[in-house]
Amino acid sequence: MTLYGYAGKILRLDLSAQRAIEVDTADYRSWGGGHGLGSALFWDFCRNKTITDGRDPANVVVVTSSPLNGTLAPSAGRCEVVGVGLNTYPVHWYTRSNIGGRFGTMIRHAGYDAIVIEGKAPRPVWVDVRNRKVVFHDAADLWGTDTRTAQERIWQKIGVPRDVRTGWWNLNETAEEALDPATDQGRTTQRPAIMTIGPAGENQTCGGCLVHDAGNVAAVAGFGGVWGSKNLKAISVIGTGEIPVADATALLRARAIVKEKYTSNIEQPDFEAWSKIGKQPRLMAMVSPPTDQYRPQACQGCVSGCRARYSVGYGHETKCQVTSWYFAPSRRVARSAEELVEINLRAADAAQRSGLNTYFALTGLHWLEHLVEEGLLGPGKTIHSDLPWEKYGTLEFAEKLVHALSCREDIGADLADGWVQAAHKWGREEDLRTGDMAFSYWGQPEHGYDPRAEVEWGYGSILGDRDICEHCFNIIFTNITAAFAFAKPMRIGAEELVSIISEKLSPYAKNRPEVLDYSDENMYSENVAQLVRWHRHYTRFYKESALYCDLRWPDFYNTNTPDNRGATASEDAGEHVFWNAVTGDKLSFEDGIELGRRIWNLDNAIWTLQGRHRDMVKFAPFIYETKYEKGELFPFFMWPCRDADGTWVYRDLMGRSMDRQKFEDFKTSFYRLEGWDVASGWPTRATLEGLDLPEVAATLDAAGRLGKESSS
Amino acid sequence: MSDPKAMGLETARRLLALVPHDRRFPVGQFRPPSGVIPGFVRSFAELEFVLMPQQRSLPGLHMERLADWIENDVGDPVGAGEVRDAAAAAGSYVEACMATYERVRDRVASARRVIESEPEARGPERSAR
Repeated sequence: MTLYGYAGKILRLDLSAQRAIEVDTADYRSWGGGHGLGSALFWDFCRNKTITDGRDPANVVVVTSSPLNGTLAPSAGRCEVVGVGLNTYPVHWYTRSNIGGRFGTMIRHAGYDAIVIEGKAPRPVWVDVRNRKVVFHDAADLWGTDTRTAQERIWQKIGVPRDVRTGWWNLNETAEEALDPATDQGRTTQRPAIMTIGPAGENQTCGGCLVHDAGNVAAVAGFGGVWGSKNLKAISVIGTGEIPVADATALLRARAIVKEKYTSNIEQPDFEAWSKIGKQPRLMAMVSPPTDQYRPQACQGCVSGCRARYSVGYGHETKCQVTSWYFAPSRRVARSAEELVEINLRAADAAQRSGLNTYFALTGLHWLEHLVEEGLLGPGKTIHSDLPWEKYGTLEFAEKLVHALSCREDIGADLADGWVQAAHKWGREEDLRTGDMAFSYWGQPEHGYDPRAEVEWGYGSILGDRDICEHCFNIIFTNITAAFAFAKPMRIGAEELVSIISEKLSPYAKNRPEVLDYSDENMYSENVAQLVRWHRHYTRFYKESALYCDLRWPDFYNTNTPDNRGATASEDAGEHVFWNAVTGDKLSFEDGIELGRRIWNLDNAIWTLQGRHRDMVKFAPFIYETKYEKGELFPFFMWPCRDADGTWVYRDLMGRSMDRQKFEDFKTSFYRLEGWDVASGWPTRATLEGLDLPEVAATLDAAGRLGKESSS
Repeated sequence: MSDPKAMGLETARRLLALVPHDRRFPVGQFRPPSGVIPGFVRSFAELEFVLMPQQRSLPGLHMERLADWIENDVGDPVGAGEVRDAAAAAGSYVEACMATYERVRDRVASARRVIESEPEARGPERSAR
């Protein structure tokens, strides 16, 4: 029977024995793909799910694709990675990360839907995967190289012709003796997709990333450091297999509808459209392009192309905050706008080559500068550092800082195990109280959508495992705040906006606009708990398992359509429509939300086995003890709210803090709605069995960590 | 608009120098999807980069407090007055930022010209590399 949308096999890499094992995808079909598939595989193949250090050899990392990867589904080219990470405090939670580019699709052409990484290699290795042929290679000559050098050397080793830019190359001609030369490997125009680590990963730092091509990075979880602990330098995948699609006509029809109905007319483009999937393609660099000579670069299947390759030879494929992690320091020394851009893009390159997560820098560098200026950090100071702090802001300093953090040198020796961990080691807990160290949730830096104002972001992060980095509802803030800043009329009024969105929040909040009331009066309510539930479940399936791009989905509202309604949940081009066309499933949109709930509950079971209890689910002290000061970061932070008379308005939410007890009450509401034990936050047997997870309930029961059923 | 000829050497130096860390001015950058990124400035030259128009971000400033900071911490009452007037005349927050940017840019350029016209006043340039 054809498994539409799937390659059909899952690859297990036993690094300890250097053995490849295949598993049938059909056994895991009910989990969809991506994160769901990864969590199920982690559950089955991680023999010790109580581990709290991602470097434990028992840890299992799963790199997973989606049935939508490489199809016409718009902006669904991501790749999910799950496992116990390295970058949370106080426990390294089971967590996730996400990466774009070609890797997710190429895994499938190579014959697999996921790669399960188990054990620890006795010495550094890299793994060559071609059309279901798997070879482990010694990586002694790659260990110590940066991420770009490693990829280039692997391409050379594989025998990719150096001039394969526009032509074909024949995999048969490069087949090694370990491969079966009688098998037709096929021809391709593609180079192998390689996921690799740099020095930051090899040195097992919390900032270690997985890097693919020039600027695709799975960063926040610290999986690069996990790979380093497993002596795994890189995985290369290349293949020529096809992915069967159940209903190509339906797929093409839905894609055409996105273009014709939901996307801004290219003849009369609306650059300010309020939409996600319907926005004009645009570069996502946070600094100006260094030249007007550049080409867009996109993940496979994406309608956007938000990265660029520049003629100047630096800054390639890097986007979003990586392009400006050094922006604040660099403006101290730059003498021109051009120099400012060059410093930032070259600093980005330094981090990408080292495979180092830079998100810490947006708030963390201010903390380090604070310590320097307070006379606590520097040569001969309490926190000794020989870094050239007098050159703070220069490219030279950025490169030395990247090196120190990647190689556990200087202050990097402490920061490599976590920034909040270092704060404790240095006796700087007070900085988490004052906000001088703005690391909001699980030891991770504040994303810039502060929980005190943007509650769904903060709640989702602290109730889960990491900074969620999911911009589903965040687009509301972006659209209305920008309109306020430019004093332009709102494209959609507050009442209409919340009405349109809530139409799509099935099943928990359908047609309940009150869940989108971000006011002081409503921010701890059961309404918002329902919003957060929907968000957790939506993202676990549609965004992290089906692997729709965070920047393009969900499309709640869309000013390109006559009624301002977006593609999300629609029956002509909703997320489930593409899923069904590819897989042959007959999922309703709500079925996808329910599958997300199943995945979310399995994740919570893993966190529970790792030792989570509701008493641990707390923000950093500054979130409760200081106000999100109005006017400091921005003059206003606009969200929909209801006035006392019930009128919907857009209101500035700066100037408030979070109330500890009320947040505890919110957690109780959330746990009750999820069917979890409100005393512990653990899943109950009834909830797990209701999700067809009886074996999970049995495991928790055996561990003495099954939640108590509610007596009500 | 300020007259560069009227700017004295002492004012020029103040504009290009760093104020002490405890007198820094908080600024943000609204950079969707990265977020509202915190930061601060300690000189006019830094402020120019914060306010410089960008395609993908907006500066985050409290305009009234900015003028007070320029007057009291940087020590440039002329610049403070220009910023106050520019912000007051603007029709939107973004217009206020752009008008303020132009004033700050001009003040920085004037200050550099004044410094450069005084060879003995020039210190070693700080290289970005």
